[in-house]
Amino acid sequence: MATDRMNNDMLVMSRLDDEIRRGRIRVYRNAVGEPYVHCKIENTLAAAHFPEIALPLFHKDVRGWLNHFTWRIFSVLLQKREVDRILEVLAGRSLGESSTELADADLLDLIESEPVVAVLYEFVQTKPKKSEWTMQTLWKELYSFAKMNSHLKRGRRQFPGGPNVLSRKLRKPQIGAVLNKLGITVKLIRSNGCKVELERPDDTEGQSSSQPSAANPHEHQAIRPVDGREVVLQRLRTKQSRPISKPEGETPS
Amino acid sequence: MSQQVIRPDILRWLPSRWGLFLGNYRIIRHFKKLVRKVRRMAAVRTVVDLNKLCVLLVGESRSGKTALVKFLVRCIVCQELDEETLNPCPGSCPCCRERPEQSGLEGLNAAIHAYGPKGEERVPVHFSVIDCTLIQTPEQLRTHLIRIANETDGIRIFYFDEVHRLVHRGMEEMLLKAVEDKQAIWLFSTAKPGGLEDMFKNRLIKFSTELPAMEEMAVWLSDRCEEWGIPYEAEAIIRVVEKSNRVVGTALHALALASLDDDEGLTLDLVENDWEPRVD
Repeated sequence: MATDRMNNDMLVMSRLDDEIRRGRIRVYRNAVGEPYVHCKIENTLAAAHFPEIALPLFHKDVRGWLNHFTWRIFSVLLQKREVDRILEVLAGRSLGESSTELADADLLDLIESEPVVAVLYEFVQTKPKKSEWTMQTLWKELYSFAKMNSHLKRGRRQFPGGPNVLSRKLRKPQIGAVLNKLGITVKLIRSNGCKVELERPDDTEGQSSSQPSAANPHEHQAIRPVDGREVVLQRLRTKQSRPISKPEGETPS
Repeated sequence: MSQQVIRPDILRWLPSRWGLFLGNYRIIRHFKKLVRKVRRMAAVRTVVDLNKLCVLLVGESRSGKTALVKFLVRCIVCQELDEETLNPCPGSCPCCRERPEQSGLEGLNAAIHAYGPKGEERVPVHFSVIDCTLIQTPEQLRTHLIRIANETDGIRIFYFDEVHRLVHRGMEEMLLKAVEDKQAIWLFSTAKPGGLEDMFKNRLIKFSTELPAMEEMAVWLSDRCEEWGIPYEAEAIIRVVEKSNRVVGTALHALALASLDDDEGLTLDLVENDWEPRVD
């Protein structure tokens, strides 16, 4: 009957509320603000029939799971618009909880669709572990790099057309979250203009970005090429405290 | 009274031995081999076909491309080169006194200096530096290429600095024929290889400059400060390494600035507030 059909989604929503209270279903926002659902029905007779899922809320498999859940529990089949309403309610519910998780698929999606992320990710690999730029210079370098590597446009998005647009992009929390996930730190400092500090993850052997293919022919005693700032500072201080040994006669240029 | 320190022109300072170069290990390794090969040819008075040796050095500005080429030439022509370390003399031999790496070495001048340590005659080495920033028109480039074609016999080394500047009006294509036909060692450098024609790049052996590791550069800078009598703070050295993005030529600017004050020297305050490695 029409009245019964209209109440089906409310009936299901009430049961879902119950599952959320018991912690078997969780709705939240991920690191870039997208609604996610995690369903893990355990310790019930019906548990065997409901596979665990952790997916974006509006993924088609979530709709399938909901319909399956409804049929098993209530022997009712929901209409499309009823499922839509349930998902909308859950999306609203997810605003109350956020997570720093970012699934690999989402990360890949963002790298694919956001030129700034893709370009920055490749650009920092070609630079020292830590580098400093003014916003203007960084934009010029990134733009030139993006042009050379055909990254000026990805999907529908274009690489920022100026340093002010780049600055706004870098300040967005979503972009920051993605870059953090990739291990890249972008620090914006407002001091005599806008300065940007970029830091990328450690190289595998802690060396400079280009691995020398031969033994270092440098005449100094063997230097461990580590990037640890404190270690280097300590070494310099120890060196300063020792008496200076005269170098071999150098002819000034 | 403190000891007088002879301080070089820091901004134009060039290493005087291989061990004073930072990073660029691959390029140094191959350049040393080239020094041995060319000197051997000059000594046995044999000029073999060097056409296959066309090198493109790629790297950001101030990362040592031109310094390496100039040092290579100095090693090749030095009459008192240490054959073991391949380090040139400290400027005492007649050839090094002329500073051939700065102003070139051609024609009669090359012949005059073509002698070994025992006075034995060698094949002359002609060296030309072509600053591509000064070439505005194809006619100017053509003049250089005609001069190159008419060089006297000997070993010829041509260095085109900032070759990407020739991309304007397609001038780098004029080099294609010269590189193919002329018997010489062709050396090119650029900070912007993306603009060069693929046909041109494909004819060249490419080397990229390599930046030094942080600790290596910090120790090197402190050595230079001590050598040149510049007082320094350890934290300031680290900040110079970081702010210069480990580019040696850029870091030397900070030392040049610090050398203006013999008492304070390289302080953290100077590095953070007075020294700007880049301006927009």
